[in-house]
Amino acid sequence: MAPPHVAPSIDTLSPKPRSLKSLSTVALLVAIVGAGVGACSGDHASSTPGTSTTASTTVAATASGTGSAAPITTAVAFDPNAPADPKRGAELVVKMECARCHDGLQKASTIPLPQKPVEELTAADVTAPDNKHCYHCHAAILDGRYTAPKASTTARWKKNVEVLRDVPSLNGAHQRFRRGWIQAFLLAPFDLRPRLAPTMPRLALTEADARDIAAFLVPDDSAKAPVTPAPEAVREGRELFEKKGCVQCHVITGAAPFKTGTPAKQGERGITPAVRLAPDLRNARDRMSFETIVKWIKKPGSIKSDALMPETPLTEDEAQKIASFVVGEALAPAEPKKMPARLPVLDRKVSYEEVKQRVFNKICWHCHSDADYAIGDGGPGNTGGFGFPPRGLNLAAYDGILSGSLDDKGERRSVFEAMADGTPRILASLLARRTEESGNIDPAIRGMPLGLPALSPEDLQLVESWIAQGHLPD
Amino acid sequence: MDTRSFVRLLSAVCFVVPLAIAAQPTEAVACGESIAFEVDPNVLLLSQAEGNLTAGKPRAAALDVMKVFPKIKTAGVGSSPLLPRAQRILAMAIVRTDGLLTAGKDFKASTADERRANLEWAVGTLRRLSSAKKNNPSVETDLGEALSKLPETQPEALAVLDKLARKDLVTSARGYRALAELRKAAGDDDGHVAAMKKYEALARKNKPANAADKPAAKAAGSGVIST
Repeated sequence: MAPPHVAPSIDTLSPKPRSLKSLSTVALLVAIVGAGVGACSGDHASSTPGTSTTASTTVAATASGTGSAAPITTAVAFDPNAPADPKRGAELVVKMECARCHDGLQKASTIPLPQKPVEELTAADVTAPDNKHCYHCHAAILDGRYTAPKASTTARWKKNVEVLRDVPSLNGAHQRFRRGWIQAFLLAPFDLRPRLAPTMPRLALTEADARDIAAFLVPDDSAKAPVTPAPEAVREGRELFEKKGCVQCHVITGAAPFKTGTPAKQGERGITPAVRLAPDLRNARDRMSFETIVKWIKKPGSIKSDALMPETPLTEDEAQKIASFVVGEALAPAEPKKMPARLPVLDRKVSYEEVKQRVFNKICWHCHSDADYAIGDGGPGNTGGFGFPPRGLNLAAYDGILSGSLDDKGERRSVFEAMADGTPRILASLLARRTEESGNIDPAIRGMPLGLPALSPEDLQLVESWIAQGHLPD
Repeated sequence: MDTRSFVRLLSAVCFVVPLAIAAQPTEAVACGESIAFEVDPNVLLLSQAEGNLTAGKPRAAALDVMKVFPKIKTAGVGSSPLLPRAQRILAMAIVRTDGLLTAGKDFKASTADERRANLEWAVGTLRRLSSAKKNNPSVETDLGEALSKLPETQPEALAVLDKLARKDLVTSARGYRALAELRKAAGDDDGHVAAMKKYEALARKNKPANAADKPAAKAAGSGVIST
């Protein structure tokens, strides 16, 4: 059965009027992240090699046809005709250590991943051992497979990591996504899954890097045509969407409210992985073609063998109508995520121990620790990883914090060094994460914690107060 | 529940609860990459040693280290992932007792020559660690402090610590203390005062009870630790 009123096929990145109209409200543009940008140090991005500036088409919205969560500060001119190198993309997937978080890389593409040894590759590869796989480790804790000697310790860890165990598998990515969407999302990731605490981290990718990775994940992007569904199909699809229970897991930000369903809350507890990983379908029209959505709705497992979305008994017509709703529902412009107000510096004494327990040794040290102490590699934020150069930053110990981090030239600098506006560097990184969450990416500084929710106002206040009080060891 | 069942239950509780309490392991230090913290007693001992060193108990720190590495002086590089950490602790324990520390058969402190040999080992060890961990202010601060203990390496100590201090990268109170003394000896009174201010701020909680603050015990054998 043909989809209702299929529009002429256009490339996702082509400047078609309909696309541009819907894309014009998009909040998500693409930020350039220089290749040399430091992982957490607020380094200034270098100019992006390979950025296309000639004969390019500025497309604002591969990330969401009708607006993502927020406005983005930096637009990139995409050149849809720019050649992509999927083989290089495969190497980048390994170099960027996507397997530290994502499963399913071996079946993500039709293009094989490089076999080791490859000179350029570092640290974890596609068979990342669990001690380098963030979410396997968390899952092991939650499943009781982690050897902790005391039940109370495990219970405490479980509470901490409950919302940090799920990451979408990339299995079958080549059958699901539009290449342009992936390219844009890699360059300017945002909160795609409203109930999931982690988000795709801002990696140090050039436009060419993102293009090549996208080409690896979606080698064949030819048969993915947007459609303009009939209003009637959209209306009926909306009814079916609610009737069939889709609203139990999915939200569509900007759509008219449903009678049922619950608002999504980031880091929600007590929900299943399927619910937690359910994406905001606002972006579905940009992520997938109409045909793929129909196929996915009917039988997710046929596209992604480890799909968590349940198979719902639907006729072809019903699936088509639901897909019509997903791609055709009129969506209100997205509102930027509001940043909670910062709290004033505390008058009371804030000790290092308090900051350590609440922030440094709860969050930061997972990536910024010392290899000699953790008997590991010190984490990507110290010895290098996720494609970042080693920063030599150890936030697991007081003397490590005082040791500062390495800049792009390999020179040491204090994490308390004042930025241009006087903000201590480490605090600026933490504040930048808030700004990123609100949709504004500053290419000059990378928000921390990478790919995780910004610190709460209370925790930020604690760090800021400790620094203001002289960042002393007591 | 009849009496018999109650007695059985009571017996079971009396038997199991004490066992369960006795079997409780120590609190894990943390999560994430620190798996070894929980399962390796040597790591716990070294962690304890570091705590002792920070608390101004260098001899207790050395004792802990020697329990883990009784032959640390001759241990091969790379023989254990814990070795660099242990070497650093022992080296700093020696530095903070001005070499007046006897540990095992390899570290004697009966004579001035032996104490000097201890300090030379500490300096050599910290040099090697610093070389292995290039551009690491924490190791460099330790090295600077160690270098300040030998007259012939004090100019180098001043250079090392001065360079770190200019970037606010001296990582310990004792590092600032050593810098203050070196600056004073070099006639840099302002620099001395500045370093002392930093020292006093950082040392507020755990004011060092090391040789610089409080002369080490005069008896040669007072620093002896047995392993």
